[in-house]
Amino acid sequence: MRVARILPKIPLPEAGLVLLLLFLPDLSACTSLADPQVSRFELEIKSHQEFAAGHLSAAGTLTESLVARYGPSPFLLNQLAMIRDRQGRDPETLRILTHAHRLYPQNLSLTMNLATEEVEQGNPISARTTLLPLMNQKVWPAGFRTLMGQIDIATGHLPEAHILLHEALTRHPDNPLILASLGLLHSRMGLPEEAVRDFRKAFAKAPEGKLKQHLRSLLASN
Amino acid sequence: MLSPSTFKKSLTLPWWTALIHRTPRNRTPRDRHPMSRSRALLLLLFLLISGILTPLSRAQAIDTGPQDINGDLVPDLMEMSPHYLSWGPNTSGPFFTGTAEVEPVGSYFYEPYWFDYLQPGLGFSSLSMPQRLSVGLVKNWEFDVSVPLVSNSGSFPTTPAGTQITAFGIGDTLVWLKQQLTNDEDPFHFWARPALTLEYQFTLPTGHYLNLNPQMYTVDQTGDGQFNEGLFLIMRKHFKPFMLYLEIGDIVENPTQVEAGFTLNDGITTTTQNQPVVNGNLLWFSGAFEHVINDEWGAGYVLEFFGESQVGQNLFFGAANTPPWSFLWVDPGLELTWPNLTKFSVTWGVGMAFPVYQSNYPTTYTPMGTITVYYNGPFGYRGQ
Repeated sequence: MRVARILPKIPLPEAGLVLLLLFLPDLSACTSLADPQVSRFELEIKSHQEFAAGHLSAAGTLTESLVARYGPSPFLLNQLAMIRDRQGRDPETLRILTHAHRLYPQNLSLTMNLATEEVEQGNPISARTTLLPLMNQKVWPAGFRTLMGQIDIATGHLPEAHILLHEALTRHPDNPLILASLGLLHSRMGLPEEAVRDFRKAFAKAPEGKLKQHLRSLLASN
Repeated sequence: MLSPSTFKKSLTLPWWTALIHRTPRNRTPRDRHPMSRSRALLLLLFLLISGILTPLSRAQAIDTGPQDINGDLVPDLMEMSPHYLSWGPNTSGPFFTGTAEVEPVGSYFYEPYWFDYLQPGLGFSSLSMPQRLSVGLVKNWEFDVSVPLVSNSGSFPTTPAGTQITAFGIGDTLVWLKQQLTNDEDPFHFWARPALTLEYQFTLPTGHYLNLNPQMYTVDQTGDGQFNEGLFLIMRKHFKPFMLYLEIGDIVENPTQVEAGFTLNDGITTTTQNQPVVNGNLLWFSGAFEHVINDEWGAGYVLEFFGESQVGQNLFFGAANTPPWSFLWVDPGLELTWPNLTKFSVTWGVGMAFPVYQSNYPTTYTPMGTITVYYNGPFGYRGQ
C-alpha cells in the first residue's frame, strides 16, 4: 500500500530515470542503433534476394559464408543446392541435398527437392525410395502428386501414376506440367490419341519458354 | 498488442460513477439508447467477416501447382523462405503491451478487440471495442489507427436503484506512428540485441463528453475531450520458444474545458460545474512473457502486467487540478493462430485482467478478447 501512495507523486525526472534504468540493459546490447539491420537473418534475406535477382555467384558466396559462420540450416542448404542447380553443377546439387536430407529428414521441402534432383539425374528408383515415407502422411506437400506420378511412370507403376496425376490435375487443371505428365503416362499406356490431346492442352497452357519448346517437339514426334 | 493508450482512450474512462448524481430528480427508463450491446456486437461481426474475406481471397489465388522452367518435364526445385522465426507464426500476443517490430511494407492487419471493463463497486461496466488498422508504410515505419466503439452500462450506485442504463457511442480515436530502431539480432538467444521501437501517439477527442444527458448519469460519456500526445519505447526479445515484451511511455494530456457532470479519468470524480481540466502526465508501464507451445498453431499463453499512473504534474501545463491516481493489473491470456497461411493468418486471443492494486482508482476486472486478421505482403509478417 505504501507503493500505492508513493507512485502517483513520482516527479517526471525520476520517472524518466526509472524508464532509462529499465531499458539500459537492453540498450547496451544494441551494437549500433544507426545500423539496425545487420543480423544473421538480414544476411539470409540478402542472399535470398541476390538469388532471386539471378546473381548466382554473389548469392552462392554469401550463402556459403552464412553456413560457415552460423552452421547449416534447411533454408541455407536448400538455397545452396538451388544455386548449384542453376549453375548446372548437378552432382554438387545432389550431394548438398543428400547431406541436407540426412541432417533434416523431417523437412518436407528438402525431401521433395532431393527426390526431384534424383529424377533429374536419371535415378527414379532412388527417388521413389526417398519419397515413399511421405506416402503414409495424412497431408502431402505441394507438388507431391505430380512428382510421385512421374516417378511411378518411370518405375512402371502406371496405375498409381494414373491416380496421382489425375488427383493433381483436379487441383490444378491448367497446369501445363501436370498435363504433359499425363500425356507421357498415356503414351506409356499405349493410348497415343489421349497422349496427343494432353500434350496439346499442355502446349496451349504453357508460357513461352523451354517447356513449350519441349512440348512442341513431343507433339511433332507423336 | 494493444498499442499504448488504446486502452486508455478506447476505454473512455470517465463515464462511470456520477456518484454525486445518486439521487436523481427524474427516474430513467431502462435502455435509453436505441443501439443495444447485441447490435454493437453484430456490427463488429460484420466488420470482422468483411475483414477476413478480402485477404483470404487474395491469398487463395496464388497456388498454381508445380512449375517447370527448365523444360525437362520434371518439377523445379522448391524454394524455401529464409526463416527469421522458423518456429513461430503470427501470434496474438499481449493485450496492452505493443509489439516492437513494425509491419513490413505492404503488410497490414485489422484487429478488433473486446474489453469489458467491469467495476462492480460502482455498478458500472464498459464494453470497449477498438477497431484497429495497422499498415506497413515504408521500411521501419508503421501507421496505426484505432477507433473504439463503446457500449456503457450503468446500474446502482451509478444509477438509481432498480434502473439500468446503457449507451453506445464512439470513443476517443488514437493515431500513432511506430519507428523501429533495431531488429532482434538473434531470436534464439536471450542476450542478443532486442527489437526496439519508438511510438509517437496522438489522441483525438472523438468521444462524447459535452452536453451529457443528466438523466443518463454520465453513462453516455464516451470520451475525455482531450488532445493527447504520447511517446513510448517498446522492446521485444525472442528466445525460442519464449518472447519478452516491455513498454514504457509518457502521455501529455492537454487541458480541456468540460461541463458539470463530466467524470475525470480517475473514473471516480465527477465535476459539479463548468471548469477547465488539467490532468497530469500519464505514466504507462507494461510487460509480458509469451510462451509459444505449438509453432504450427501459434498456440501458447501470455502472462502480462499493465499499469498507469497519473502523476499529478503536467509536463507542459503545470500542476494538475485533478487528483493523481494509479493502478496495476495482471492479465493472463491464451492464444491460437488459425488459419495460418503464408499470406494470410488469423490470430485469436482471450484473457482476463485482474487488479493487483489501485490508488484513487476503481477496482476493475476485465475479460477481454481479440482477433487479428493479417495480410502478409512480400516482406512477410512483423518480426519475421
